[in-house]
Amino acid sequence: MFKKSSLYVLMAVLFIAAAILSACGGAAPATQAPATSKLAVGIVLPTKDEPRWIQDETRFKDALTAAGYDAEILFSQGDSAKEKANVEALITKGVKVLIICPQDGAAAAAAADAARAAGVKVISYDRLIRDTDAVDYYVTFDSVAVGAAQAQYLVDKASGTANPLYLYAGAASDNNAFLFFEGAWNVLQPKIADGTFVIKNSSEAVALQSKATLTRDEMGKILGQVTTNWDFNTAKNLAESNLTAAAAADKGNVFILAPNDGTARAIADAFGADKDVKSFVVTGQDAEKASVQYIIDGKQSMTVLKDVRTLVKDAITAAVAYLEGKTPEQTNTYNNGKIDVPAKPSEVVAVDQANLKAAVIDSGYWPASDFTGLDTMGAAPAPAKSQVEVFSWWTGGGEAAGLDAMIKVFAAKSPEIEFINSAVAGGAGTNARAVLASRLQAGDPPDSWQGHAGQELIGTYVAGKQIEPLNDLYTAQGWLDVMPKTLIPLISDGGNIYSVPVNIHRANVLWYNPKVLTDNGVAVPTTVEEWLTAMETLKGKGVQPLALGEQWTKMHLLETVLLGTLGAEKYNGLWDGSTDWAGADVKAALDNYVKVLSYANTDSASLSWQDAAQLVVNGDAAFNVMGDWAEGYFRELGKTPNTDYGWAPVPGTVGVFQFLSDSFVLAVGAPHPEAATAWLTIAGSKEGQEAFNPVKGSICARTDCDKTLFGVYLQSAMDDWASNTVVGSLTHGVVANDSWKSEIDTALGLFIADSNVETFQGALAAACKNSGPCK
Amino acid sequence: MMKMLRDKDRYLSVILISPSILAVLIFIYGFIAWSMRVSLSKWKGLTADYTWNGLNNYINLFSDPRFHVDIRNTLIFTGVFVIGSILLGFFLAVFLDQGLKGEGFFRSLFIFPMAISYIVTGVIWRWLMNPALGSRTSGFNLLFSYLHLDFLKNAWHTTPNWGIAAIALAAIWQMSGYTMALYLAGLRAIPGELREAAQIDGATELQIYRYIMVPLLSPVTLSALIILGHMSLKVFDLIVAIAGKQLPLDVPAIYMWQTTFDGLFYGRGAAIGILLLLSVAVLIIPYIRYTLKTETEQ
Repeated sequence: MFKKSSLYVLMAVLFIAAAILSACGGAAPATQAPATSKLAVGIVLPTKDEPRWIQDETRFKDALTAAGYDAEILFSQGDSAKEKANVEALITKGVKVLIICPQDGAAAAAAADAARAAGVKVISYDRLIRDTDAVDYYVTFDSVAVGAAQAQYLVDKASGTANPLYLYAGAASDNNAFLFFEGAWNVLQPKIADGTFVIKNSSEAVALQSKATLTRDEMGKILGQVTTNWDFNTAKNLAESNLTAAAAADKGNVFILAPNDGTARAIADAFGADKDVKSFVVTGQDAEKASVQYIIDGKQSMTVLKDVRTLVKDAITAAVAYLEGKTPEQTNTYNNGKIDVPAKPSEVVAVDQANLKAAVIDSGYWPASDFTGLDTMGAAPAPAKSQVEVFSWWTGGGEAAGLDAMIKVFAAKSPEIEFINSAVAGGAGTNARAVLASRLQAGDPPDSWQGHAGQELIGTYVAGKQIEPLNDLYTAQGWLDVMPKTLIPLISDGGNIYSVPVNIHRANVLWYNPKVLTDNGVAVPTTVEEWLTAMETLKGKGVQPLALGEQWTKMHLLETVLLGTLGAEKYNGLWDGSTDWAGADVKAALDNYVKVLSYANTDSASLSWQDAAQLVVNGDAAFNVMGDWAEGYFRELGKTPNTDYGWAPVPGTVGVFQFLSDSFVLAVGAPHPEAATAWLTIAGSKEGQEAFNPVKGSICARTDCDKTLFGVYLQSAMDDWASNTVVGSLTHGVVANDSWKSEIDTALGLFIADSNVETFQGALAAACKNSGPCK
Repeated sequence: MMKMLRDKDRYLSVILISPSILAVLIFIYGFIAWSMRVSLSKWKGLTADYTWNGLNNYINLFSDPRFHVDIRNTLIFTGVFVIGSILLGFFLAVFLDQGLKGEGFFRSLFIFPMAISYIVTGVIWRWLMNPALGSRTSGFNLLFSYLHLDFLKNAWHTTPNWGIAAIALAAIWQMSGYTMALYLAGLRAIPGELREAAQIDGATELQIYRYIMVPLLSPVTLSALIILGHMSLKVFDLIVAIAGKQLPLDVPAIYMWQTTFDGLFYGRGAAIGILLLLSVAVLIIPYIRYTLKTETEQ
């Protein structure tokens, strides 16, 4: 680095060869700087490993170049011996003034002595060289003023009395920590004495609160209780244990003296996470980038900017004064253990949202591009704590992407509400529902949660008095006019609507492979009989007629065959008790189901729904009955609608839309009912649904969404949704409550194992008695 | 003075272990008691309902066709898994006990499957035991057709009635290495003199194992039986990973999960849980008593 620095300096000298030099203090007019001018100023900095000193290097170079002096900057790399060698090298080169930031204040005394012996003026930069009389001047920030500025900020922000005050300090091994604290104490103590503040986290400070001036030992006692050691984690742990120890009454609107930015952020995070803390004012120091962002975001209240450029400027002013044979200005002295070193402490600036732009950005301390939210800073009330927790099992794929899109709409409409996305992965909702069940039992409901519209929600949560009716919201938002009339009874109970459907999927879709059908001379069937005939033909030609997957896809098939055989009215009757489960109609439907099953693949138990659906688009099977999320899967596979796959209502269900829907509810006892209502408003809005559905691959529950946002299949589904009779799906929670559905599932599983239709029908009838409306 | 010190030690030890005792009391025995109470209630749905229901949940279970499937599946699984693991583990142990080269390597090789979780095993075996036919054949079935062993191809876990035995194969793969380790330790503990004496008396290798080794290893066999047996009663994750939750492969643990969390039959779920606990206890408690007794005797 030595060589590079020299080279740089040499180049700088060449560049300024023509510049005006006002060096030797004489009255002589401007003289030309000789290109070979002797080194005037030597600078020794602690280490190149910290960005601070590299910035200083650049600033010194620029400033000295501008002032027309030749300088050389060396680094001690954290080694006092190297530091001394650097100083000796600079003395040999004939520097007149030495600016040195000692690695170790005491160890640097020898280097200073050597410089003094050679007649070189020694300026101690930022850190004081101790225990020697060979220091001519000290350039520093006023640490006491820093503490005072922090304290003054707290005082200015406080009103009334008995404001809780939490004190934090730097490392007890650092002299500066005492100076900062001393400055703060000087300002705070009168305000503690008059009752404005009450110290909450230091018994030593409370014991000393009537003393205006503290001795070092007294401050040491307080620091022993509130030291952060300048360490992020120590600060965080200390703040957290203070908060744990404090009663709720000792929180509320709190005031925090934090010694510097790193600890301030840690402490602010800890206080921000405490639910009893309503607001807090927290100080800082150094104007670190991260803290400037915190101030912009309202998470830290202020920082004290010690503009290092001021320090560099003051150091150079002093150096130039010496070079010109003058004495630098002195307003203060600092005792270094041997003499009082003259100094003029550099100015510090308290920075908060009000002057941040001017002090930090416009002054060029940090570039505006390093921060976000500068323009909107202060516009939103900073410690707004309104939030909404929404629980779902949308953790991946189009569902999660759709939710994110809808959250964006929500954030744009309600920026003051923080959206907490509590999604639980796994098991197509099984895991999430288990987690939700335990939270509800513990009396800790999220504000809103996702559930399949219909009885899955109603049978479970209305019965448990855990969700609120939403009729007022429907009326206020005019949703009754934009959602299908036949939908409303399916999501209602006792005249009350309980959820806001966000998307609609269709369950009764028959997917087919157009090429397989054409090749075998089979038309798309519209009745169950036509379907059975078609499958018989296909079977005869060696084509796998029907692709089927694991158990739940068999229930999905069952519900569509029930609908196809019974028709919409009798199908709805199954779920309100008016159609007899033990009757001949259901028997006929089950017989149809057995026939349909006989055309299915034998390895269905080992196939997921994707595996089964894929058989159709790959031409390995002719038909598959699956909800229209399969269409999204086909697209993912790169298949083309109407070429690789075609669709029709499941035979016998033309003109009927068997739907399922993800919907959101309002929890009874929601922690943030207003925010939850705001979320539901977005979930039911045209904008929210248009954001969600094209991404998820479903259609809007509203009938007024923009069709051009959707693909060819979904457009046809939208037409049907607006015009067809709407009935609900069993497998996907619309028509039967969880208990009933699980009993049907068990009956179906046993039926698949033993193929006994009579037992099956008996079990279905019993299930309706046990868990459904049948008597 | 000594006594005071001992008392002090005793107090200290009581204080030190009391948190864990308390935790065990609450989180294990407390919840067992709570589950028992729930199993005697009519609780169905999300809201707790402690209405007294007597033993009805239990009685209904024994006439529940699904629970019959569960018991049958558990018996088949336990039989195949325990016998398979013990036999395979024993033969692997005898094989390694022959003092062959690279024993350490083989030992690790056989034990490694145990380090894998059932879920991972399940995912791998789901593919190995893929029952698809025709162009979609994969896993073992594909291997068999390459080797022209087509008669070995089968439907694995989708075989009617016996599918659960295929799941047990995966469990055997996972646990036979552990059984081997048990037997290997047992074999190493048998003094060489016994074998030498038998050889001098003219016993064949087979007779040595039949009449000396196997009887001497019976405590090991008992341990293996109990450890494997109680694992098989609780099996859940392996089945779910291989086949999902389908009724032909249903076991009590899956029924308990589904009926409780999908069907909200909390009373019935708790009853299944208690039955599971009892069945494991029947195996474990005599074993623990036996072990404690032999330990104190020593």
